[in-house]
Amino acid sequence: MTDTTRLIGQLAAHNDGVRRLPHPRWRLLRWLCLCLPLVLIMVGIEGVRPDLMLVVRQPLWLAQQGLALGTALAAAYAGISFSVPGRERWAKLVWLPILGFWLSVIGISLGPMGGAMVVTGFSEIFCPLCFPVISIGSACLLAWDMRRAAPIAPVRMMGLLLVAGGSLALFGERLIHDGFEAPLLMLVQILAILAAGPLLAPLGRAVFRWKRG
Amino acid sequence: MEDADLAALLVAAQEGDRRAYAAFLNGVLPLLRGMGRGKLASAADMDDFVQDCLLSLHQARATYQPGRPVLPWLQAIARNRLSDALRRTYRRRDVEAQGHDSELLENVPQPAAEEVEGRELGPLLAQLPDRQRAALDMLKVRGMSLRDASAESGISVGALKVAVHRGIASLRQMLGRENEHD
Repeated sequence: MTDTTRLIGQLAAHNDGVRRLPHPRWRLLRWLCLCLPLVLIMVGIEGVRPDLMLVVRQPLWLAQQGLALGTALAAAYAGISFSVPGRERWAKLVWLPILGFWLSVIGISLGPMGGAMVVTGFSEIFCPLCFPVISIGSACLLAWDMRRAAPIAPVRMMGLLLVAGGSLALFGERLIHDGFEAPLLMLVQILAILAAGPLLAPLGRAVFRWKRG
Repeated sequence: MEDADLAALLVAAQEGDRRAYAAFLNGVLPLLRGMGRGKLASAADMDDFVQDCLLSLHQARATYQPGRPVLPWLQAIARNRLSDALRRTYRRRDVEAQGHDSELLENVPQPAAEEVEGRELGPLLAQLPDRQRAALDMLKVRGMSLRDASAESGISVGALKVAVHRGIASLRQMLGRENEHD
């Protein structure tokens, strides 16, 4: 009996049936349902921004919030799709047009004046409490979901997980604080998140890996 | 075997049908070997690749959704494992290309495995696959060098290293299970 034949025998003998992973869209919905309490907790701790009732009437603010949430959801969907072998290519790239559209909206709001900005620290770009809690919390929840699937693209899964967590944190942060509204600042925020993706994505090889033996 | 046949077997396997699962795994073997053929140099590398794929299919079997084609699912996993296998092969070639150091290492008799207090390893060794058992016997029990063991068994040095590594990992698991029962 060869090793391969023996291995097949052992695998078959240990097959007690498995619970199928739900479709990626249900996994996405579950992730969103788990993440929303994080945003609500931060709203409970920090309170909503004082001018929330005013800004929700501004189409540009709503568009930016919608695109922040849309990018988070699309990046999470793409990451989840990468963890399912054989998914279609569009599902893995769906976040790019939404992100592009978000950047375009910010570009339009920048206007021809552009703007100048001096940044001296993390706290001037992101809220030092809301951003880490929402981004790291939501990224961990997504990682927990992805680890139950197949680690066939660990680096891309990690990169998308960071984009999803970061975008969701920007969405939440803008519900809580009114000090991060400047278009140039938003651009810097998004570019910082996008830069963190490739920098930290190689960690995916440690987080998402095949089990041994 | 056709995609629809494989899909039916995999769905049955997900529901706990062991016979269908064995048939599915046997059915995908030619596909896996076909993917590795021409890319993996030795039969040992091919065996390692196929076995890694089978273990990965086992781990990922919950991700298959009924109604979807099996082949893209299977190929995505196999491509991932193939790139891992090729990376391992290139790394090993690099080490071997460094010359005398590896030659020295391969000629030095291996230190015998530490004895496990109060345990008789013989019955556990007997449960291992043939290659792993032979590798552990030659290198860890009889203390042969990698080169001598390779010459005696006809298994490449690289494959022997892999077999010993896996054999030790399996023994650890078995000992862990025994301790749990104790």
